[in-house]
Amino acid sequence: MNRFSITKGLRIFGWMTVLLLGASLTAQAAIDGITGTKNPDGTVVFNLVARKGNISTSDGDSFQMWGYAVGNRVQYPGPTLIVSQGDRIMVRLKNALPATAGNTSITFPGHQVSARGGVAGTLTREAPPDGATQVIYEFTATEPGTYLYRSGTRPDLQVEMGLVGALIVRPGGGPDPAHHAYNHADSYFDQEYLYFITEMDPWIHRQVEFTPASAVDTTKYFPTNWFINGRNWPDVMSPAFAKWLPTQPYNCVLRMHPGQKILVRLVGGGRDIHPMHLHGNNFWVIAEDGRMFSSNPGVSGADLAWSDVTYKIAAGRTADAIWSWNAEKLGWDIYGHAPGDPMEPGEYAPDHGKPFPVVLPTRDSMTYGPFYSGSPFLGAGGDLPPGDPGLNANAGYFYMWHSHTEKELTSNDIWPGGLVSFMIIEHPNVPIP
Amino acid sequence: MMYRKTGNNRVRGWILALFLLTVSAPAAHADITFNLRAAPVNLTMADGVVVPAWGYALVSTNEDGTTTPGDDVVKVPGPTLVVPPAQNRVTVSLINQLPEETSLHILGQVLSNNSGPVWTEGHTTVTYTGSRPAENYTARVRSFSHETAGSGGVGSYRWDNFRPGTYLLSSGTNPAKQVQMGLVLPMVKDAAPGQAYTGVAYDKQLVVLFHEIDPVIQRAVADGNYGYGKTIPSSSHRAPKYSLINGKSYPDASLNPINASINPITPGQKILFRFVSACLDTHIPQFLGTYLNAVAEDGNPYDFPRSQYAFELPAGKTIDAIFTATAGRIPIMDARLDVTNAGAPTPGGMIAFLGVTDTVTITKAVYNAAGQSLGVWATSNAPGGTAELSASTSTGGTPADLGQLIYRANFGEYREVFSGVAAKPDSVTLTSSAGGSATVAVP
Repeated sequence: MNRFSITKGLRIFGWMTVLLLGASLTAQAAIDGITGTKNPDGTVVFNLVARKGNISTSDGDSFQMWGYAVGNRVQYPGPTLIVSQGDRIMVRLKNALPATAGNTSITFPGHQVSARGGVAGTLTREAPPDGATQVIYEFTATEPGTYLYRSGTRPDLQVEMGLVGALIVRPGGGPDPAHHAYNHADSYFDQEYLYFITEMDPWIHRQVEFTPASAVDTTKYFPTNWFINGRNWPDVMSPAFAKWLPTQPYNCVLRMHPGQKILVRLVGGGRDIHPMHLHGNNFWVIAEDGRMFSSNPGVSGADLAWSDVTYKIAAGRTADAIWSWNAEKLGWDIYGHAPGDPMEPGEYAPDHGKPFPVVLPTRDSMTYGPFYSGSPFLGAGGDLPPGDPGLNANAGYFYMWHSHTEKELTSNDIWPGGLVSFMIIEHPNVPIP
Repeated sequence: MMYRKTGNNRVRGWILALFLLTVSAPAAHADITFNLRAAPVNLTMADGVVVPAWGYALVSTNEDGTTTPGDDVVKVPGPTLVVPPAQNRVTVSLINQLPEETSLHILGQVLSNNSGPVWTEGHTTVTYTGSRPAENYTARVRSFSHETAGSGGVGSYRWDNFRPGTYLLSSGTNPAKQVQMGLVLPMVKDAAPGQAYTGVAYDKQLVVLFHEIDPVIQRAVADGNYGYGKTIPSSSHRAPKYSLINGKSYPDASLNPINASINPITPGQKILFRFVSACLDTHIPQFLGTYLNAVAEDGNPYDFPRSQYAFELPAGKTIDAIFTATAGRIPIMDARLDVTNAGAPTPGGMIAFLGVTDTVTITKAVYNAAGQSLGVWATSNAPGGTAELSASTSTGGTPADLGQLIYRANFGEYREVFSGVAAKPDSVTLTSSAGGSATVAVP
């Protein structure tokens, strides 16, 4: 049986950590986004321009998109707007889409929006595609939570084309708004991550590129590409703001230390419903549509939260889930401790010092997955066979978090792809930014 | 050929008798009977396309011996059947003018005169009633309960303990075909007057039924080209072109506003939305600018309400949610974005508006002769400036548009100074997008 002490394991992998963490796992623990600029009267202002651009998919293809740009470059999805409860928000939208795209607009489900400028539309006021006319949407972020914004003009086409994004409202009360989703201790988290889910029907994008947009029949919609935060697997694991994905700045690399609490902000940005399945442990669904499940709202916290292992995120809706993992009831010590060794932070005490329950075959008698460190122990490592990619730089545990509609684990018919990412449990000594 | 197992029926008869003795005997039955007619009908879509369908008409209602005639018009969805709180035993008598047999089925209610399913033997005309013959592994269920023959047959379906809530009555025969053809209608029953469920009070209610149409399949059914060995053998490749709310799609006047039948609504009233899916696919009614409290699903009340702006509504499901009315013109749309009529680039499909009339108050109107400008301040009853106010003036009886009066979030009020007003107008009028207006003389 291989048995590594923490110190030995980390010594072995220290150099890999230095080399590879910088290269492939520069995850940001906080959710990437923009916080706008503050007007003298306190209003938080975002200036967005709807533009045409292109994105790459993990099967090696590229597609024309319409998206929200902060400057000249489109991004997919639109920038995550991060504000605080009580802020007055002003979103200014201009439309620099091709003329055939027509007008565009933004709706903010869950918020009371006043709109002005531009021209009257069906759901709200719209910006014509002149690149100059400005529509202004204003609302007060009255309640904390996870929200989305998306086009309210021909949304069956414009959302598909990329005019959609997330809105996060941090709580205004409470002692630590950076670590609570809502104004209650039930929503505490150590790390938070965004799962912003969208789909794509490649044929619609081809049609928009080569025929007038008005000729696209969206009732024929049949998606074959799926995205988390605008990327499909494995691009989700690349660094945020990677230079080779210039219009898809957000990644989805989830990392934590044992015992920490994780907030997963789930958003159904597109048209379909996705059963998101989190391996490793159950999670608590504490809120939907930015409202905690509470028997007495404002008082009793998330007392109506439920524990689940798969959550269907519905189109146009949002949910917040709290997840944790500390090897509870695994039956063996994930650090390979001897009974007298000191405890690690967050360690599950009843299994301290319990031996690993099986005798592992020799290295060359096993097939290794690319994320196996060579050792079953957290933060340790072992011999890897020649040619093994060694993708587990810090000897963490990888738990697949994915859609359980299995065909969505592809990128336009290429497997693996689509709606997959991993939660990586890291040794407490591995810094998570 | 009809196959009956007499022995089984005798046992079932005893069980029924016991059931009636134990459950229904103590209370005298109050009775309501709905007399329905099922028949073909042509529906005209928003783009003018005519689609053949099958629907229900309400011929009449008998309640405790009194008969009230219905309009006897075949509709899709059929008429909403309202069971009064005091009525427990509900009977639906059906005249079937369709070209084939049909039956009635209510998800979540137990049919009392159910003699068991009707089975078919492959693609032959052989049927079995009740149970499948012993050792027969080939027959398949065609109807969930007894059938009513086509071309004028008459049948009766009875529910002795009709539960309060929101329900979908639909065909129980070949549902993959007959439900999408339009044999659907909403049924509602309150637990007590003004209470959807015990303790769940409301002032007014709206039934919102979602439903889709694939015109190719429906045309094939009408022309006899649907089914085994025909041009369209099944609904496996169904692709709806029309997405309807209460049988209509935007911009139909009945959806803009959707609440004409219950007007006037005053702010603060509790409006019960009864969402019903007669779809084969999931839709997600989403409100823009407000939250509702979900209080029940499938006729089962929640212990605690859930505050949501959108509701996942899978096929056959019902959801009840209460909107505490605020003034405004609130969009209701399918968050799955089936918001087109047959792929047209203009707004259509599952979009509706809830209109609660606004109260506009002009707090200040000041004309500045030197600056040739008119300042107008106003408030609206719609929260957060969600209503759009347009300003116009009248001078010597001649109107002139000024444009939008802008909501100033930092003041919580609408304020604008309109320039280029050459002479002092007699009056200024503000009209809210939610309906309602105010006029004051300009001093």
